[in-house]
Amino acid sequence: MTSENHIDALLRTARDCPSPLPSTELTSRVLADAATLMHAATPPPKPRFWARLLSPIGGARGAVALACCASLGVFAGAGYADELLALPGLESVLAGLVDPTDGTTPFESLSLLMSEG
Amino acid sequence: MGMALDTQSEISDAALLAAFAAGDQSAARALTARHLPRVFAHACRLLQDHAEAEDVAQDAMMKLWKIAPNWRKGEAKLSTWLYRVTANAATDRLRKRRTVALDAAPEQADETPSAEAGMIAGDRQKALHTAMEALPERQRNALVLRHFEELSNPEIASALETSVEAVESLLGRARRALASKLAHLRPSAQRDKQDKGART
Repeated sequence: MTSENHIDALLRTARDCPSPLPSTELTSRVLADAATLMHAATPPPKPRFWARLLSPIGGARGAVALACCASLGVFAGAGYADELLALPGLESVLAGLVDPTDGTTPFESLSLLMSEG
Repeated sequence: MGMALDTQSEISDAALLAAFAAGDQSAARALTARHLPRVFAHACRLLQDHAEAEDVAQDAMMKLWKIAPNWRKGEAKLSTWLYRVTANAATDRLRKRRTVALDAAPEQADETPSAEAGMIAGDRQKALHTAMEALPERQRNALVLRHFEELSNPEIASALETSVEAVESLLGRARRALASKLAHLRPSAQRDKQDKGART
């Protein structure tokens, strides 16, 4: 038997011996490390684009409320301007909104815009 | 969020690492089941000490958890990377202790038919381990990866961060050193010895 064959035989015998297996304690420790690191490493979820955009006005609910109010305002202003102007007590409110530079009220400006384009 | 356990054997290491980094605990279990036995066995073979091998294996797996979020697909084979980390950690420990207690070596299964044959086989294995421990660290690492973990030379080169030619050289020197140290165990050498004893 050559020395090469002899070494091969010895190494083969050693390799064929069953490998030592990790104990359950070691496995538990490794998994505990993983759990610890996972909690430490997992970043908090990033807010989505729309969430970030709408957060100053109270998120999605705020945006919906704002959109409803805007739609209602446009609808009422466009369709029922005369009725709105006839509301009792509105004169005194509008008086406080008169632009001192040209003497027109916002509603008058709007009426002018809508009638003459 | 967790993946089905029965399908995880088909999932790549990179995908499991990504899942772990995203917070999937079952990915950690799958990676542990897949790699811890190899890491631990490798550490045992290098250190010949069960307790130290456990520490090294735990450290290696800890490094794996830490690198998981930054693991890039195709950068390296995970098993090769783990062999490298384990070998480096084991080398650090071996440098700290120069003398090794062979009694702490993991017990080998005795499958030989007779007690005498078992003792001889045990002595041979003990002698092999002693001779391997006396090898320079890189030679021992290369030898263990080649003959015990059955890695190819390019894989060993990757694990040891060296060239394939250097691995071939390391293996050649390791085998020559082993052959020299274990020459007395060769059957022909023993027969010669017996013949000599009978003549005198």
